[in-house]
Amino acid sequence: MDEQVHVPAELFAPVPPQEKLRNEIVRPSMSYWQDAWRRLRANPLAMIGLVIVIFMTFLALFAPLLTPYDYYSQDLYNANAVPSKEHWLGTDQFGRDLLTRILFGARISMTVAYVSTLLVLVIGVTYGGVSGYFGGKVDNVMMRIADILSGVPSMLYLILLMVVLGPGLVTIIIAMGIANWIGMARMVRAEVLKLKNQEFVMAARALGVNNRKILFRHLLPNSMGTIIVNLTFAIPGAIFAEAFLSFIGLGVSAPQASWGMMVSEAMQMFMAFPLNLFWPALAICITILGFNFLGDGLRDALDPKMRK
Amino acid sequence: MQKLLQVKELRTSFFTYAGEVKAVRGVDFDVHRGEAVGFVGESGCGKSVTMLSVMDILDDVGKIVGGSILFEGVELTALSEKKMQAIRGNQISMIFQDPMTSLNPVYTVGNQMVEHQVRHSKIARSEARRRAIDMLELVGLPQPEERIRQYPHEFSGGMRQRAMIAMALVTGPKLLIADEPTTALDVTIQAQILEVMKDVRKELNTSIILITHDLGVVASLCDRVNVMYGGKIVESAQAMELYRHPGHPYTVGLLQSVPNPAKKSKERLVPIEGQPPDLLKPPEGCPFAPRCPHTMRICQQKMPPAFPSGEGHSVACWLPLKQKEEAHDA
Amino acid sequence: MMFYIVRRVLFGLLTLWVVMTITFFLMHAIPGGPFDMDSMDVQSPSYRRIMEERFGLNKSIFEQYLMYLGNLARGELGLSISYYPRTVNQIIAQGFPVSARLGGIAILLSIVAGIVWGVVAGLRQGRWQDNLMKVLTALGITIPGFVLATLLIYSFAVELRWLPPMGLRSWKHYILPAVALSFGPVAYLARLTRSSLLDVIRQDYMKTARAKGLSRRKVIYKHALKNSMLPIVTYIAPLIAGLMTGSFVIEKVFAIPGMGREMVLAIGNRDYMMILGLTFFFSALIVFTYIITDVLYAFLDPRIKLGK
Repeated sequence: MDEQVHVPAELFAPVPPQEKLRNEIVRPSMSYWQDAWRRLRANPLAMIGLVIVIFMTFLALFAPLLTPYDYYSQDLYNANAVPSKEHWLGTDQFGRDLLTRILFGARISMTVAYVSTLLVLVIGVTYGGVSGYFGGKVDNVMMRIADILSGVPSMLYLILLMVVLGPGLVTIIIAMGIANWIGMARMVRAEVLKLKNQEFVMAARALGVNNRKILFRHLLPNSMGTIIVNLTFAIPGAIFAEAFLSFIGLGVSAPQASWGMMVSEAMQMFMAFPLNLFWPALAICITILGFNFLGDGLRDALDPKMRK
Repeated sequence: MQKLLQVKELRTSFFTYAGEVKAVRGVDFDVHRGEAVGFVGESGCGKSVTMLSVMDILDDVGKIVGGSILFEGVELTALSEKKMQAIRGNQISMIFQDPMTSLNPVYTVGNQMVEHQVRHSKIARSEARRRAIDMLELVGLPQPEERIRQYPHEFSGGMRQRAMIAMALVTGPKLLIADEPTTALDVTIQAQILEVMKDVRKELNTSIILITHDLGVVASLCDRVNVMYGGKIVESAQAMELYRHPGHPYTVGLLQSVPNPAKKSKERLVPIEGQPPDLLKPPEGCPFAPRCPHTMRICQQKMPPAFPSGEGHSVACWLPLKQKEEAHDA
Repeated sequence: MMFYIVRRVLFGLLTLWVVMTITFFLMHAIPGGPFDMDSMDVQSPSYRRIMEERFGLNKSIFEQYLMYLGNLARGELGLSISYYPRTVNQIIAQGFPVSARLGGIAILLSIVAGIVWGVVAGLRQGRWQDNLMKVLTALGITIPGFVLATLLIYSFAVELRWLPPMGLRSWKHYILPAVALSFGPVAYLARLTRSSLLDVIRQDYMKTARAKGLSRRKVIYKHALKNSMLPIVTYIAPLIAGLMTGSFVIEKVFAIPGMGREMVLAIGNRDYMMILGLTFFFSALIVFTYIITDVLYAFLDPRIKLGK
């Protein structure tokens, strides 16, 4: 430590305060969503998932523009055709173009998935938000009810509701909404309970902001991350459930095509025509995979614990 | 006094996805037998990482990238994991900040106090259990025979920290590293835990390294204090000397930001402005320069070496040198 | 402890009662009775009247409800409509042992394979074992059970002729359905185990265990595993519920005469008494598993205060 250090005198000149700050390394300040988006973009699997999701949604939206055929006209002379220039993926047992049916199937399956998830969101957020925000007795009663209902797998409710409501697109959506809201409600409640004791909510309350505003302006937006991640996982669940219902004979009614319907129709003769089963099954798998990749990526990107 | 632990030029980095975070950037210090040494600094200054490096229990992305750690003349950085295991919890013990989460919730306190004893020495479980009870008694836990059968959640925070200390000391280590042992506790409990540490030090003559950001805690327990900032030790002195003649502007800042009830004056507390440096891109010069009230050109260009400043007192700052040269010129 | 179990059982009974009531009234909300079905239009009005009397359909809905609850209390699930005059109890007595055997094998397979696989992946985070798990998990959550079942039959039974495609006559017959049934749960459980293990590894007490000089093996096997298994226990009940609904599909594909297939048949036949009875039976099974796993959890985790 006794080494001689020589420092030229001019270096001892004081640095004015405004120059000092330049030296301070300040990371660019990013909002929560910008930061999340940056991390999502850095995750290749999540980006693949996002591309798949956007692509499938696009197919569903523009199905009629993408094919010269329709999904219901039968052409029995051309049944179970192998892939060709006219029918890229071949035809089914009634001679209907498989690609067309898959495109229109995307419409049904995606509609079921998106709308039923939206329904789950509305019911779940309202129920969970109210329960968590008011707390105490209200919360206790509401959560006991949820406990009782969740003692039984939602798939059983779903089957019952479908049996009662009868098959069809609208009934599937309603039944899924009614059968699957509990998980979402629980999650929103937990999130609201966690947030409502934080300072910014206390401050809002001290300023006399009313309950509704606190719930919708402060609590729910801050739970958005968790809600979005849950939604991304709920959508593939809905696609799965739709396929399952179709398989046990509770799906949309013919000649409408959903992926689940196509699979279960093709199943009866899959030994002879395995391709008829393969294409819709592939569509289901890719879509579910896409949503799951995206969901995983979103969870990592939106998790505050992962912020660095 | 003999040197028990001698750390030289220690460098530790975390290799994260954002790049290499240089958490410890060349740290030198000694701990003598029976000595209590305090490490003070803001969170993120590298004090905990230094000690985790000594124990070699950094997490996966953390690595010692340079320097030497001599413990009783043995180079710890060169030891195999197996040999290191024989030192951890046996020769050197460590306790952590949050007693609520530092004990495994699914095993009884007794179980957790016995397992490392039987690993480190060939003693029967019953003997290990007896020692554990004695040690719990020493740290002032009432009814240790009953308590030892209980699970951590049946203990209060203060009791858990007592149990942690007893667990660390039951193997008779030569060095106890305490990483902010009182931070997570209520003020009255903090005082009790400090008393316990003082007692065991007197009783067992164990050397202690105490990490804290609370200068008051250091004053009551430690002989020497090292002040850390930005991954480096910026000042090192005997405890009393540091309080009377702080040399580094950061130490001065720390002392001014702590209320001192002994002084009855209505002196204002002075916070240190600004943020600690980003160790992903550590500054070339003194890490404290951006926040320092006396920054000079040299401070931004070159990290000052540790200049001696009296008996056992060293300060890594250009300011004393400037004063000396000015005095010389005059 | 006793108090806790009693309370848990009472809550379970309450759940069952609520489920039963909902199911009963849902079933009776269906427009038209079971004897309005097209397939029965050959029946004479007098036959129909006799049958309606036999099933109590001519009484008021409230009387029917009380009758049904009374029968349930005696453990009688009523008469099947499509299998008349066999009772739902008889059909369950026939189908349940078959389903239970297959389900038991699938549960064991799921738990053992899922946990082992998850632990290996968690400990080898980022290495090939972990990546293999990620791929298989992605497959497990993406491929619907009936697609997997069909693929298995197609490759192992039809093409390779190693294993029988249908029925349950020998141990060889169990392999394909058990694999098809447990693949999804294995993937899910492995994922859960892995994330639970990684969660535990980050805990402070793991640092304590390492600081005490315990060997890596001991740190993992003693301090990490038990803690990371706790959340797994709570997943066992939903796992069994999942296997049960999975069995609806698998039993149909493999032509296994179990309860799942009966359920699907009952749905197809609109056999309300069967649907009602089977739903009750499935619900009771799930409620019972929830009780068992909750009590098991309370035993394993000392932090759960019993009798409170």
